[in-house]
Amino acid sequence: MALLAVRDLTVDLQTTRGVARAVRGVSFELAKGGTLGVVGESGCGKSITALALMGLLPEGARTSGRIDLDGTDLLSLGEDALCGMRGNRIAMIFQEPMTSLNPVHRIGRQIAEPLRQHRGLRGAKARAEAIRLLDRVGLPNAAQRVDAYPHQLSGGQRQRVMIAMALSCDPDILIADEPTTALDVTIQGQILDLINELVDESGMALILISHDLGVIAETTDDVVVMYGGSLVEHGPTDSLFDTLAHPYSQGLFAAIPDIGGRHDRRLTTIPGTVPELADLPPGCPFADRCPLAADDCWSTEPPMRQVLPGHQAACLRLEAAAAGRANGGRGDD
Amino acid sequence: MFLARRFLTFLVTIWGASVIIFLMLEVLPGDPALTMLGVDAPDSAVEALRRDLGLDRPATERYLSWIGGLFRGELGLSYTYQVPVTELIAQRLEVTLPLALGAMLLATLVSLSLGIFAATNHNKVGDYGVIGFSQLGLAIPDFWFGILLIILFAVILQWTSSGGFPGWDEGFWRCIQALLLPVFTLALSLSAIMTRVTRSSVLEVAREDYVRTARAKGLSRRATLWRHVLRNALIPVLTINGLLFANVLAGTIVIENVFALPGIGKLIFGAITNRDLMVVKNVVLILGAMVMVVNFIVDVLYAVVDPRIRIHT
Repeated sequence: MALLAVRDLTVDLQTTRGVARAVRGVSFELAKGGTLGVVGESGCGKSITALALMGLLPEGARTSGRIDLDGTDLLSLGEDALCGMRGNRIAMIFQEPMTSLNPVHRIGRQIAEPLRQHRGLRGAKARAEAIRLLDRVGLPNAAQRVDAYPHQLSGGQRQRVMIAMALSCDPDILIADEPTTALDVTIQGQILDLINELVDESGMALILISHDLGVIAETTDDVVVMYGGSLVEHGPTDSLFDTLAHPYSQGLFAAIPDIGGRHDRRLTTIPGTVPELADLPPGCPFADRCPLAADDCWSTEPPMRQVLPGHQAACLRLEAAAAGRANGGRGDD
Repeated sequence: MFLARRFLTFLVTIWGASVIIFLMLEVLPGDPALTMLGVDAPDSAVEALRRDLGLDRPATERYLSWIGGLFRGELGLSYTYQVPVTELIAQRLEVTLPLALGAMLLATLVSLSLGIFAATNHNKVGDYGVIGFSQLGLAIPDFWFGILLIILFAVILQWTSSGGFPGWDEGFWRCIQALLLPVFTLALSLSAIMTRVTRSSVLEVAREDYVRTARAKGLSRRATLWRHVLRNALIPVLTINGLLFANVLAGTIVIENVFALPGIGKLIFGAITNRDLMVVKNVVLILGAMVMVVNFIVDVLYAVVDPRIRIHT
């Protein structure tokens, strides 16, 4: 049985423009020790899905579906039970290391907090464990830095502190929401390597949210591609990157700048913008921006169809998309 | 380092205040002696008073002797009361300090509880209730609220006296009782403002990323509020509360008159009416100094609350 099974997860958010359906019937599974990449543009529902897993959705959000962790439906748990899960069985690191640590507390105390909360560690024991964790995530001089305040650390160091904090109680699942986006390019690789290393070492499962396809390809076993709150493609990383069955996945991939390519070539972009979740049209959410869209794309919600075993895409024009990729795809440039 | 610099600023500000007070009262055109005695006074009397007050000496000399006197605790004689100003101020402070500090303390306690309560019940009935209360507190004039309290508690219920102050020799509790209504009156508009500041500050901090981090660690809402939100939310609250202390002192002038309390506010009110130069000048300086001391304490508290201030400044 999968460690985490998300079934038909739907999240409605209260916005100033009314109710927005931010996540629409999303389903996926994560095995123990598995790694899953979540890809998509800003506003596609990646982060909201992650917050739903943590039970930390904004005030007034409504959910339906199931999130089963080891057979327990997290959506049915009360606040107290969820507090026992967060930071203990599911931990999360966020995009903004600069603002994700409390400026008025020493980092040692902030790392010791989950230890105290879930393991009952206090005082010298908690401190020793915090130092060990800081050392483990590669913060130089951990024994001294444990008393530092966040503003005395760089962005990369702060993200290491965040990772130490997430790691503190040996969670089953680590959710990393764009963990390197806010960092210098030189630091990004180090942080990703660290996350990979820790995942391998501890056997925890990883959900890595990113819009950086390169990062996802290197790190994860499986990928889901999200658009407009829905899953549009889902499969093993290799298969998905080989096939790129969905026109949106193709568009995302084509939009990566080609380092070896000619400089006078314009970057390929996907025309249009991400739709407002509050007023998504019926039919396929991507229809407005899709080069292959036909009349029925605007009226019929595309079902998930199998591309290869274990690899599905939600598109009515899968065959046309496959043909397009064979003829005019990036690989033939 | 931060403290040393802040203390230096404090000294310079007080010195600046003393120069301004001196210039306004004694050097600007207009003869203090003539003002004190009135335009109908005979020239000989005006001359005599000028000599009494030392107004015939050059301005710098007069300023230096005033400041020198401050250090020795000799502030001259009050013209109307004919007692040393030092004694007068000391007596009056016994009423005004407990009144002002009591009002600050009460308003701080009320505003912290109401502000936090409102913020944690954001956009619910409790929140609207608190906003309503603070709106009301801001709209009601101090002196009118004071009179209402007198009518209710002193006249109708007869629980307290309507005013006056027995003096601390007459027993601690009797004095506290006499100060109760004035403190409430003074704290009303004060807590209204502070409540709003506390509420919006808590709401703002609650949206910070590090609060989400705290929740992601598994801390309950309550634990997150106490350990992560409040300390950060306190910073703007401290600033406003410090600045409001000046309003409190100004408020005592009205309140002490409403409740017939022999405090600094009443003293300076009378001194200005009677043109008692010695009293006015020293009381204004003392009031200024009190505001500055409070703001100095606020700055020290900043450094306690926020480690970034300790290191960067």
